[in-house]
Amino acid sequence: MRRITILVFSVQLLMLSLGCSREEPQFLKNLRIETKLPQNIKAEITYDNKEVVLYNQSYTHIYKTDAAGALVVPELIPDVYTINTCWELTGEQYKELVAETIYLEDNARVLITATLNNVPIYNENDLEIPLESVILKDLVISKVYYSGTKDDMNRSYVVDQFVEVFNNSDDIVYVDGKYLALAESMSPPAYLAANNPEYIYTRQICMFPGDGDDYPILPGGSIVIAARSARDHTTSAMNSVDLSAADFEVKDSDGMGNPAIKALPMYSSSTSLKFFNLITGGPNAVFLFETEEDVLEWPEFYAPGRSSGERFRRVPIETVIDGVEVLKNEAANGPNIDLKRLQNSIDAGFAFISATSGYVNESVERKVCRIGEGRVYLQDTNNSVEDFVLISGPQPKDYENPQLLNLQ
Amino acid sequence: MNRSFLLLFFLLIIQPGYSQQADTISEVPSINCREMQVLMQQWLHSDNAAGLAFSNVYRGGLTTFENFYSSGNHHRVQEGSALNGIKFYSEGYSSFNDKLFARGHFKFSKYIEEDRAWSDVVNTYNGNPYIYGSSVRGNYDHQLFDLSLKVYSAAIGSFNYGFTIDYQVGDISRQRDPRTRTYMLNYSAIPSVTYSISEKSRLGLNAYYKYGKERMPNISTVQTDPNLQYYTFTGLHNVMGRVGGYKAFQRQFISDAVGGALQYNFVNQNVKLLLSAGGDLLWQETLGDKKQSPGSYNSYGFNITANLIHSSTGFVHNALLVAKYNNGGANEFRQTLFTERDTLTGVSTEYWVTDYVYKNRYVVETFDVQFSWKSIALKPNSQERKWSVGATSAFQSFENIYYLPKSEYAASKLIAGINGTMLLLDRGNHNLEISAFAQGAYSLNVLLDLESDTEVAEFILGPDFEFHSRNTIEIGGSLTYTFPLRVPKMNAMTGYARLYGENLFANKSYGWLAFGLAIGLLTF
Repeated sequence: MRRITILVFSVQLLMLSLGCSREEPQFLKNLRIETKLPQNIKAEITYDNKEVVLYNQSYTHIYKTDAAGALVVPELIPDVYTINTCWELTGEQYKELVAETIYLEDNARVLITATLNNVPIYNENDLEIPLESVILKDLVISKVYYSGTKDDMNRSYVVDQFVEVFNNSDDIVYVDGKYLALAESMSPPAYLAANNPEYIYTRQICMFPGDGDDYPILPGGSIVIAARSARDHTTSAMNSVDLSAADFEVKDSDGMGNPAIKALPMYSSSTSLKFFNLITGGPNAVFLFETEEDVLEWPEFYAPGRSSGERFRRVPIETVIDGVEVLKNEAANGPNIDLKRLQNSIDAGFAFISATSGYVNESVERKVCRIGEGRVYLQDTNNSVEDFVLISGPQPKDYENPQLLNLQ
Repeated sequence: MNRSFLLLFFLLIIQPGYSQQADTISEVPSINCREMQVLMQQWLHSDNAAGLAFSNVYRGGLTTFENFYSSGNHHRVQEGSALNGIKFYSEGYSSFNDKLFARGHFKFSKYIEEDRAWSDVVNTYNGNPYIYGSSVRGNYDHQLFDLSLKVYSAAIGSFNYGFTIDYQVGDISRQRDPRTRTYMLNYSAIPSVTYSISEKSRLGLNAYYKYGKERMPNISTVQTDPNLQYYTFTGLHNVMGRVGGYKAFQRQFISDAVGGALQYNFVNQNVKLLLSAGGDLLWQETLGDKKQSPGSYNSYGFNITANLIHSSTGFVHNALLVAKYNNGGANEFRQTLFTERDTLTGVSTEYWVTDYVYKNRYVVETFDVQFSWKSIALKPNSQERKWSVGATSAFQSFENIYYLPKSEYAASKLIAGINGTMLLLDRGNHNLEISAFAQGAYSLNVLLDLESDTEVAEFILGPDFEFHSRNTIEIGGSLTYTFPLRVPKMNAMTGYARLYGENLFANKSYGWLAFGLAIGLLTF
C-alpha cells in the first residue's frame, strides 16, 4: 500500500514539477456565524452589536454581530477554534428580556453566553452559536495551587497544595453545609463532560462543617483550604507557601494535622485517602456545590466497562455553585479540551500550568476585574480561559499580585 | 550484508588490486598524476557509473587521515560555533576481471560541534520544517560512515553497464540536557547504462532510488529542571515550546526519493565534453508518538552539469558548470487523537486521525549555480601538474514561505574567487606544492517579512538575517608535501602530508577560521 502511495504521489509530483507551481492554501471567505438566543428570551430581542471571539493557540479574532445577531467573517484561516461570546446583564435587565416570569434579585449577575470548544472550521458552511443563560453565584473558586514545588534539597514537594474560595458578592455567605469536590481524573478518562451533560462524577467530596452560620465569608473575603497539610511549608521548601493560617485543613477530624486549623473531613471518596488528592500535573476539576439532599444517597458508579476499583459518586450539575476545569498540560500537544469533566455551564474553558508534570510552584488564579468600595471583585465569565491566569509563586489570600489585575 | 560490504571495501582499499591499468612508468605511485587522472574522469560528476569505463585511473588506493578544527562567530544560530574532529577517507580502483571494474570509497568522520542550539536534526535548513530542538546551547557529537561502491563494465557491444550502491549511517548525540540522540540511515541504488553512438559520442542514462530514515527515539535528562522547555517547529517562525515538552517526545523522518539523469559525452583528441541533466522527486513522512504527524514534506529538483576539458600541448583547461534547483513543500496536518477501549479485554487503543491538510503551507526554493574554470600547466612530457590558475563564481539563493498568513524569508548572494597551485619543489618523487585561494561573497538580497513576532523570530531568524546580510572575504592556502615510502616486502607507496588554513572575514568583526592537517598514502 505504501509503495502504491509513493508511486501515485511520485506521478503527482512529476506533473507538479513539470507545471513548476504549487497550489497555495487558501483562507476561508465570508464565513457566516449566527447566534441563537435561549428559548425563554422574547422573540423581538436580538443578539446585536455583541462581541464574538474566535481563538486558538495561534490567533485571536474579534468580531461584532450585526442587527440580526449574526456576523460574517471576511477571511479566516481554516483551523480549530474556540468560539466565545458573552453578554452580561443585571437581574433586572434579564427579567425584561425573558418572556416568562422568573424570580431573580435585581442585582444578580446573569450571563447570556456561549462557548464552543474545539470547533473545526475547515469550510465555509454556516455556523450557529446556541446561547444559554447562566446565573452567576456568590461563591467562586479563586485559586487552585496543585503543582507543588521543589524543596531545599531539590526534591519534589507536594504537600503544600491548597484551594481558595472567594465571596464575589456584596453579602455575607456561609460555607456551612456546602461541599468541595474533585471530579474523577482517570486515564483513560471515565466520565467526560461531553458524554455526561447532566452529571459530574466525583472522586472526592468534602463537606464544610457548621450549623448554618458558623463559617462566614465576608464580601470580598476568602477562605483557604489546605489540601494536605496546613503549616508553614516555607520552612521545608523556600519557594513554598505558608498555610499555617489556613481556614480549613482536609483531614478526618479536629486535633489531627495542625490542631489549630479546623478539619474539612472527606465525606465521600473513591479511595481511602484522607487528603484532597490534587494531581501535581493535573487534571483537577474542582467545584463547589450545595444541596438539601443526602449526598450519600446519590449513586456511585465504576468506570465504564469495569466492575471493580474506584466508584465515583454522581453529582447533578444544577447543584453546582462554581467550578474550575484544570487540564493536564500534555507534553506532546498541550491541554486536551476533549478531556473536560465540567460542563460548559459550569466552566466553558480550562486552565493549566506551564509544566507537564508539576513541581514548578505555579497556581491558576482568578483575575481581578475591578476594585471598588475597598474590596476586589473577581472576574467571572464562566470561562476559566478568560477568568484565570497562571501565577508563579502563589500566595494565599493575595489579590494584589499585578498579574491578577485585569481592570475594566 | 553489512559485514560483507565492509569486507569488500577493505579488500579494495588495503590490498593491491587488479586495477584498470598498472602504472608501469613510475617506481612509486604519483598522487599528482592520480589527481589529474581523476580530473579527466568526467563521469564522476554524474551518477552514471557505466561512464567510468571511458577513462582510466591507475590502480591503487588513496587513504587520508585528517584532523580539523574550525571556529568563529560567523555562523547561523542553529549551527555550532566550533567544529573539531577527525576524518578518515579511503578510495580505491580495482577490477574483478578484465570486463568488470570497481571504484569504492569509505569515509568516516567524527567531530564535536560546540554551542549548537535550536536544532536536533541532521538537516536544519531548506527542507522538512518539522524540526525540533532546545534553546539551551550544548555540544553535539557527530559520527558518520559513508560507503560507496561503483561497479562498471567494459563495453558489451555498444553498451556499458554500471551500478552504484551508496550507504550512509550516522548519529548526532547532544551532550547537554535535554539529551537527544538522532540516528540516520541513507542508502541508494543507482543503475546506469551508456550507449556509444560513435567513437566520439556517447549517451548515458541512470536512474536512482534512495531511502532515508532519521530517528530520534526519546530524550533523556540527567538533571531535573522543571522549567526546561522543548520546541517543535512547523515552518519559519512558527514554533511551540512546552515546559517538559521533551518528555515522551519522539520523532522520525522516513523518506523515499526517485530520480534519474541523461548524459551526453563528446570526446575527440583534444576536447572532452560531458553534459548531464537530471531530476529527482522526494517524499518524506514525519511521525511522532503513536504515529502522530505534524505534516509531510515533498520536493522535486532539477540539476544540470556541464564539464569541458580541453587538452593542448602542455596544458589542460577545465570548465565546470553545475546548476541545481530544488522546490519543496510541506503539507501541515490537523489531527485528533482517538481512543478506543475494548470493553471485553480492557485494552485501549489510541490513534491519530487527520482532520485537515493545509497543502503546501510551507514552501522552500533553492537555486545554486556554480561555474569554475581552471588552466593547468603540465610538466614537460608528463601528465602531472606543474602549476594551475583558476577562477570560480557562484550564485546561491533560497526562499522560505509560510502561508496563512503569509511570511517570507529569502536571501541570495554572489560569490567569485580565484585560486592557484604551484610546485615549489620537484625533485623526483619529493614534491612540495603550495595552493592558495581568495574568494568574496556579496549579499545581493535578504528579505525577512514575518506576520508575527515569536521566539524564533527574535532568537533565530533575526540573527540569521544578519548572517545573510554580511559580505565576506575568504582567503586560504595549503602546503602539500609528497614523498616516497618504501617498506620491505611491500609495494612502493607514496606518502603525503598536507597542512591547510583558511579564514573568512565578514562585516562587523565576524569571521570563521579553519585549519587542519592531513596525512595519507597512495598505494599501487
